[in-house]
Formats: sequence, structure tokens, C-alpha cells
Amino acid sequence: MALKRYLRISAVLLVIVLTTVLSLRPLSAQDEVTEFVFAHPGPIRTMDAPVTWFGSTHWLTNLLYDCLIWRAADGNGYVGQAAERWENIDDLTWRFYLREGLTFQNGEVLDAEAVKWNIDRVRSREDFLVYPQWQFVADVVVVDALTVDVITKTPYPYFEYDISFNGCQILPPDYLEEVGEEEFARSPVGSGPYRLVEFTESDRYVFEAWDGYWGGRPEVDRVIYQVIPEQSAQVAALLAGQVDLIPTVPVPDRERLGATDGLSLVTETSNRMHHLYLRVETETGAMNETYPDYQPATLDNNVRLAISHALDRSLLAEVQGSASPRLLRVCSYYPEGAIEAYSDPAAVADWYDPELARSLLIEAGFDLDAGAGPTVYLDAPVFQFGGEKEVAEIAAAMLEEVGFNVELNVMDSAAYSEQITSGGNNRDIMLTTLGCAPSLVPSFYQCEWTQANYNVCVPEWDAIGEQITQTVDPAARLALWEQWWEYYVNYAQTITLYEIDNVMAYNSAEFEFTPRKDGWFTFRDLKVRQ
Amino acid sequence: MSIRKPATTAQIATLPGQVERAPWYRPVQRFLAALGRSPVGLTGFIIIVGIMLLAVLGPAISPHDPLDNNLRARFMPPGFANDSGVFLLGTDQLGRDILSRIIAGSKVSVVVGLVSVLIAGVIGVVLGLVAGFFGGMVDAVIMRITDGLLSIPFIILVIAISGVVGSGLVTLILILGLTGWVTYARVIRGEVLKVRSLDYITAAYAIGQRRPLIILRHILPNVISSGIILAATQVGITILAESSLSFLGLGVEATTVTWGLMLADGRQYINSAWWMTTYPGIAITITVLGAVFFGDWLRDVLDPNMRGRS
Amino acid sequence: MRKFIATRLVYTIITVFMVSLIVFFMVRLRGDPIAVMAPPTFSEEQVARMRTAWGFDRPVGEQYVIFLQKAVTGDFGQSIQARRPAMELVLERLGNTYLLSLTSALLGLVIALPLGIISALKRNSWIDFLSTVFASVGTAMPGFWLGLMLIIVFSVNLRILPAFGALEPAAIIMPTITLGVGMAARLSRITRSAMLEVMNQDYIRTAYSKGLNRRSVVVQHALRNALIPIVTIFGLQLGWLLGGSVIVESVFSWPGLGRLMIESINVRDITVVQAGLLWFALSFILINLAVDVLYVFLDPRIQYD
Repeated sequence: MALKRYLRISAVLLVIVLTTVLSLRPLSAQDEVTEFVFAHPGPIRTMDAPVTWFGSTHWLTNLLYDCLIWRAADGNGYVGQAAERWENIDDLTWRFYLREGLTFQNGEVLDAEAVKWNIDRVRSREDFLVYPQWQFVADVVVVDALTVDVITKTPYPYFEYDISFNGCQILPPDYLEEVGEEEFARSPVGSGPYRLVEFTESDRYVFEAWDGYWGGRPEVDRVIYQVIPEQSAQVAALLAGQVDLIPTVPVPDRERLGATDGLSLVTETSNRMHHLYLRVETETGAMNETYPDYQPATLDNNVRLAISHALDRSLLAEVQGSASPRLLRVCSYYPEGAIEAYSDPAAVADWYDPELARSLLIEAGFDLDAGAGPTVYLDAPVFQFGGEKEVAEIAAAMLEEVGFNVELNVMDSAAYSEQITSGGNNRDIMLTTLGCAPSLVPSFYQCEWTQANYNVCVPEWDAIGEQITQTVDPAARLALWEQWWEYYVNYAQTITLYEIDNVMAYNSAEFEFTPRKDGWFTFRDLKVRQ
Repeated sequence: MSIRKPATTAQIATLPGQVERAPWYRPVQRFLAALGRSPVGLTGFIIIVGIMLLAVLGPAISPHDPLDNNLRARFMPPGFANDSGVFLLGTDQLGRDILSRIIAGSKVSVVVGLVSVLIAGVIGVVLGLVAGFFGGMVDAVIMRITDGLLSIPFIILVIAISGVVGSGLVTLILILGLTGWVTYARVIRGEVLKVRSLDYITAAYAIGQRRPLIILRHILPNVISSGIILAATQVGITILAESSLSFLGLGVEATTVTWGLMLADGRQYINSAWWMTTYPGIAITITVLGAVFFGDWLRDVLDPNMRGRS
Repeated sequence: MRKFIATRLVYTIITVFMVSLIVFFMVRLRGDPIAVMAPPTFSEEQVARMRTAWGFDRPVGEQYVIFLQKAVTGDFGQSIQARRPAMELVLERLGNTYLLSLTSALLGLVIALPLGIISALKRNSWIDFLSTVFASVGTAMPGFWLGLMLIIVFSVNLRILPAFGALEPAAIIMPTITLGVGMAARLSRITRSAMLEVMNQDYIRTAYSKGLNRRSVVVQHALRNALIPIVTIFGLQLGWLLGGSVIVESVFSWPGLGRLMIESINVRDITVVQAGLLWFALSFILINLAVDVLYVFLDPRIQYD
């Protein structure tokens, strides 16, 4: 009958059209080449490394560029990249001895001049996000073609940590000047083990092993960063064999992925912490332009402390999925010594005190019995590093428990970072992810910053912070830190909740993967399983 | 198009109220009788009434508080039970009862569906009447605007606008209402054009009735059934649009309980907690299905000429 | 016929013009477009500089003329996020969206035509009933939800189809089914009713009475005539398809124009949204123009002069 024939013909037609159309698309997998695909959660900004402070972009730039030195993968000290060795020759001077015969992937020579050009660039360009963290450098002096001195303004205990921080990437000066920054961001060239061979904006970034690397050609031929914003899509892609590593496994999927043949689950700290960021000013700062007449309840120190005491951090850590509760802004990867000294679980548990929170609110003049607690806005992203929406909902419930009226505002993540975090448009409280670099943390609470952004200034606290960054002796520094943290918790300008773990899953049938202690997803040392 | 045929021009002059007054319940009786004869219409009607009851009675009949979280009972599969009772459809990422949240979510769907369709309907019918009746420049301008709006796929237009003006329940209702009128304007205008040249309208002119009066008394009653049919169909489309927008995070605030947002939440955990995505979707499908069935039946009843057409 | 096509062309141009107006004013719904575009970190001075640079300080009429002049050459301005021309980003993704629309439309037709015809021929049979159920449920179901259900079944449980992206050819299968089923549901209803209407016409009865067999009556007479309403609805439903692709693309992370639009909306990258919106509208308008022209060939009885 006609219809049957019609059906058959159209089915055949559909198959033909589908196959022709599909065969036009390049097949990505080739047998001889080992290819490692990472499911990258976030957007990727420019490849001109110093411009961005966006952590996850540096996961990529680290494949492409060398720094002078770099944090060791196991968290113990530093390893040389462009520098073969380095030494502290006096209080202020650090000398770097470069490897011989280094070149960039385009043939340009990487010498002391190139190093000086790069450090001078990041410490003089105010438009770079990393500009403030490079102000510890007073001068860079070329001794000879392979030797370069970096001179600091004061004795600087965090020198190695900071010289290998974002912005340390060495770019080819001649090439960059020749093509201009805009073009460079699209076709960057470095001296690292991988070349960027192909990318589709915010979608797929393909790196290929470079034979000319000083350390030899890396074991894995191609490393691909495939942008997959959805956690669930990441899991599905891993199960389907489309990617080899996913950075966060949602809570209910953990058991299943761990039990799947050929896949392994690993947990390692991310060195990222969730914080509540409170607003403590009304006069100046970015948020003032958006909410000029708003009088935040968080201006009152008692209210801020009440918030801090009202939060059950271990419960919030549980809601997040995998995290360690903390009072201090201190991560596991911490150059100041063992994390245990800063994260006594008993102290964290003791801090949670709803009764104290209530009495602090009453002291601040709120009639809780009449239900007239302070009203606060809590802004949070739906999803950034995992569980933000859920944590915000539970935190809001905890605050309401002690008498706050919470206006919870959960926004799309991209809009949130655009409008709230980078804009600083915080009404009362925002849930945000912060790092914990010890050299930087004091600077966030210094008057220069807090005066401009919050119109507050605690000179004594400031002085301690200032001293910390200049005290080379570890014991003396630790004593200063203790005082500093007192201010930190009692001033409650930012409230630390917990340190987030990366719960990762990867293709262990094909690859040997050990997570880095600093929480970075960068794959210079990846091994193929034999 | 069904057109009430007045017998003579003489009757026209005294049209309203001159017909014998039927008892109030007669139309209702007729409506129910007609509904009873059509299984599809009846199904649609029952679904719609049921969803509305859910929306109104929500808190009274839901087994748990839809906002109550229970961290010890996160991601529990359907049928899970503990001290606080049975979780028939399972729990979500904060241990909240999915069934209760579906019940609570019906409110947003019903409100958005009805209010924005009402806004769109009123604007669309008025503009359609004006365009059809007055013709000329007014007609041309209105119709070119509808051409323009209709050539941007509806959902894309709505997504783009809500991206610009922001999210929120009221904003969402306004956006859907203020963009949805186009279809009504088109259809009503067409109906008006058919009716306008009929004898009794000309007669109304002849006896000197004012134009607004003619529109209200003679034209509107003849074209309104098309508007009603359309509205019933649009309710479904609007509810789908609302859930799509919420799913994309562009609709209501992210902490509101809606089906679209439940799906967005569930999507994160789709690899293990299938119940989080399955049930809210079924709720949307059933609701829209009710609107579609009821709309089809209305078309059949009100518009004999269009019977059988999609 | 030439006159008909000419008239349609004029209307098309007017419509495109209207769309450009809508796209232009949509960005100004909240008043100053800078309010939407400028990062909140910008100081007043920076905002003022941006306003001058983008020409938002000029009279609206003038702004529109400039917008139009540039749009005609494909210039929608720079994407604020990617720091590249917005049009370039749109064109990069356009192919993927067209590909997905094409496969889905084909799938829709392949399902809908036989289904509609059979249920019209065997009216009130079980197959007619099933196809009606399919059509109703297929229309009422949110497309993205069907997509999620397919992921649960084929990616999560059976693990036979990729749930994500366009990394391998098979990745197009699930987005195609998701959109194709919706399309088929909408088309099968109209196919059925169009066939029913045609089968009742005199000439079909005449054809039967002339002794033609059922097959040639259905194919040569009935289907041919029923195609006209089917093609019209098909053209209109492609608008639904393009709209649906926006959401389905983000469910399956399909790197098409729809996903680009959503990403850009989330970060308020307005120029990309404008360019994308115009492309969607333009595609839809041209499809329907093509449908209208197709009429002439489908139905030689209609005189267009």
C-alpha cells in the first residue's frame, strides 16, 4: 500500500539526509592521539593572562605559559618553570636563574628582558585585575640574559607565593607588541608545554602538546577544555565517555559514579571558601550608587555578630555537599602552616550560638518578642561552585530562626557575578566565593580598601595587617596573625562559612590523575595509564 | 463563524433586553449538558477545575509544608516515609516534599495563565475591533505591528524582553500579557471584517446609532466567541511559556515555588533523582492538556464552522 | 502571479522593517539602554563616555537611523563580553541551529504526514485515537521536559546516546527527537483535518466513481489538495520550532544560536541579543515567504493576478 511505501521512502530519505549532514561535521576522536577532555564549568575570559583574575581561566593559561616558578602540585613548596633555580640574596632581592635556550612557541627568545617586560607590565597597568597584587615589587633588574633580580619594597615573607600568583605568566613581548592585545587574546603564544590550537568562544578550547617544551613533550597529546556549565550534563557526559574529568559531582550521583567501572571518585580541597559578605557602609563605595538611601541593618556590629553566631556552619557545609566548616578565612593549601591550627572543630562548633545571636539583636535595639527583628537582604547565585542556592535558603532559615526577617534573592549565576559580586552591589548580605591567599587577605580589610568601599577604618587592625606582610620570622608572624584573626571574627565584615571540597570523578581506565593541592584544574602532569 | 441572525431590522433597534429573559441557571445548564456529551471537553473541564482547586486549596490539602526542608531526607525516592509522614513523590535536594511543591506550584501557573491571557485578550480584542471597524491607517498600523511581532517566535521575544526588564512574577505576567495580544488582534479583526458589512450593521448605521455603540452592541457579541476560543488555547501556551522562562531562570524569582523552577532544580540531579524532573513535567503536561481539550471543545460548541479544524 | 509575489515581497520588507523597530526599542524598554549594558562597576564618567561612544546621547530618531544603516551591513556593534562583532558570534552558531531545525522539521514531517493521513482514512479507529492522543500530549508537553526525560532514559539509564553538546554525530539525535515530536504533534492534527475535509469534496467522490483505486485517489487527488493547509501550518510551526530550539539547545548544550542568546541575555550582552533576535525573525519571515510562493505551485487552480 502507498502509505507503507511512503513511510519507507521517507525513512530512507531521513537517514540519508542525517548521515550526509552529520558526516560533514568533523569527528573529534582519533585513535593514535591520546586526548583528555575536561568539563569546564565556567566561562573562559581572555587568554591574555594578566587581564583576568578569573581563576578558572588560569587553569587554561597555565598549560600555555610558564611562570618563573610555580606552586608544586603536592602543595610542598615551589618548582621552577622558566627559572631553573632561585635564591633570596638579601632582605629585598630575589635572584632567578633562567633555563638556557628557552623560546616561545613562535620562536621568540624567552630571556631576562622578557621576564622584566612581563612583571613591569602587570605592576604598572592599573586596568589589570591583578594590578594590586603585584605592588609588592619595587623593581626588576636584568643582571644578564639568563639572570634577573626582583626587588621588593619591604622584606616580604610571601614572595614565592605571590611571584607565582595570577599574572605570573610570561608572555612573548615582541609578538604581543606586534599583533596588539586584542589579537593576542585570540591567538596567544606561550612557552608552556601546550599550544592553543583551536577554540570556539565559550565552548571548546583545544590544546596540543608542544615538542619544543624545555621539559620535553607532555605525555597526553591533546588537552581539551569543553565548557559544560550544567553539573548534570557533566555527569552525563562522563558516563557517556565524552569527557574524562568532571570537577564537581552532585551529591546524589556520587555513589553511582564511584561504583561505575572505569571511573573513580576523588575528593580534594578546592581552596575556595563560601562567605557571607556584609555591607557596613552607606556613604561611599560601589553599592552606594545602586542603593543610595538604603540603611543596612548590618551597619551595627552587634547585628553582624548576631549573623555570625546564628549560623550552624557544619550544617551549611553538609548542605553544600562536601565542605569543612571554618571560622577563619584559611584554606587547606596554606603557606602559613598546618590548617589544623586554624580550624579547631570545637571552636567552630562553639561559635554557633543562637541564644547569643538573639541577645545581640536585643542589645542592638530590636524588639524580637514583638517580631520586629532586623530586615536583611541575602543575595546569592543559583549555582557557582556547588550548592549556593540551597546554602542560601538554609542560611536564611537559620537567620530567621534567631529573629531576622530575611529577603532572599537568588539570581542567575552570570547575572549575579555581573551585578552583585563584581559590582559590589550588596544590600546587606551576599553569598560569595572567596580565596584565601594569606598575602592578600589583610589587604582586603585595610583602611585604603575599607574606607573607599565601606567608609570604615580600624587603624589598629590595619597596622597588624601591615606588619604581617613584612615580618619574615614565622613565629613572630604567627603571633601577629592571632591578633589579626581576633579582629576578623569579631568585626564580622565577612563571615567565613566553610572551605569547599572538589568532589571529582574521572576516567581512571585511561588516565592517572592526582588532583593538585591548590585546587586548580590544570593538566601539565597528567599521565596515561599503561 | 456563528452569527446571531436577527430576524428583521425592526428588532435590531430594540436589541438588548428585548428577548425573553431566561432564568439565570439556564445557560449554566446548557453548558453542563453540552459538556456532558463530550468526553474530551469534560476531561479538559475537570482538569482545569481540578488545578484551580489545587491552587486555591493548596495549603489545606498538601501533605507537607512545601518550604519545609529536612536535610536528613534529601533526594529520597517516591514513597519514602519517615516520622513526618509519607513523601509520595519523593523529596528534593533540601528534603522538601515534591508533591506539596507541585501543589503549591499550581498557584503560579494558574495566576500567570489566567491573568496574562486576560490582559492579552482585552488588549487584543480592543485593537482588533478598532482595526477591523475603522480600517484605513489605523488598521494598517496595527496590522503591521502584529506582522512584526508575529515574525519573532513568541518564546524568543519573551525571553529577550525578560532579559532586558528583569524577572519577577508581576513583570512576567505583564510581559506575557503585553506580547500575547497579537493573535487576538489578528483574529478579531478578521471576524469584524466579516460582520461589518452585514445588513443589520448597515441598518444600525442607518438608524443613526453611534459608532462606539455599534461596536459594543452589534459587533462585539458576534466576534467575542472567537476571542474566547483563542483565550482557552492561549492559556496552555502561556503556562508553557511561563515554565520555559522559569526553567531558564528568567521568569519568577528563583525561590518561588513553580513547576518550571522545580524542573530547573531537578535538572542538576537528573542522573540520580529522576523524580525531581519527572513529576513537575507531568503536572505541566496535564494542565496544558486540560486547557487544550477545553479549548477544542469550546471551539466545537461556539464555532460550528471550524469544527474539526485544528 | 508575478504581481502576487511582488506584493508579498513588499509586505515582507515592511515586516522586516517593523522587526527592526521592535528590536531597536526592546532594548530601550527600561529607558536608557546603558542601564542594561554598562557593568555596575562603571563610574558615572565611564557611563557617560560609553553613552557617547554608543551614540545613546543623540535623539532617538537619529539613533534608529544609525542602527538601521549599520544593521543593513550586518553591523550590530561589538559584543561587550567577547569583545568581537556581535554578528560574527551569531554567524558562528547559526549553522548549528539551522542544522537542528532542519533535522527536526524533517522528522516532524515524516511522522506527521503518514500519521495524519492514516487517521483521516481510518477515522475513529484505534489508530486514529492513538494519533489524537499523541497529538494532544505532544502539544501540551513542554519540549525541554521531553528532552530531560529522553536524557534520563537514553543517557542515564541505557547510556546509548550522548546527552550533551555536538561533540559527536549522535549528539543531534535527542534534540532532534525532542523538537521533532513537538512538530509532529502539531502537524499531524492539521494533516488529519485537512485530509478529512478534502476526502469529503465532490471531486474525490467523482474520482472514486470513475473507478480509480483508493491509492491513487488518496495520493494524487486528496493529498495533493490537502498539502496547501499543511504547508501553511508547517511554515507557521517553524516559528514554534525556532523558538523551541532556544530552550532545547540549552537543555542539550547544543552550541547553536539559541544557547548563545540565553548566555548573552544572562550577562546582558545586548548587541548579541539584538543580532540573534533579528536573525531568528529574518529566518522565520523568509520561510513564510517561501511558503507563500510555494502555494502558487501547489495549487495551480488559484489565480493570483
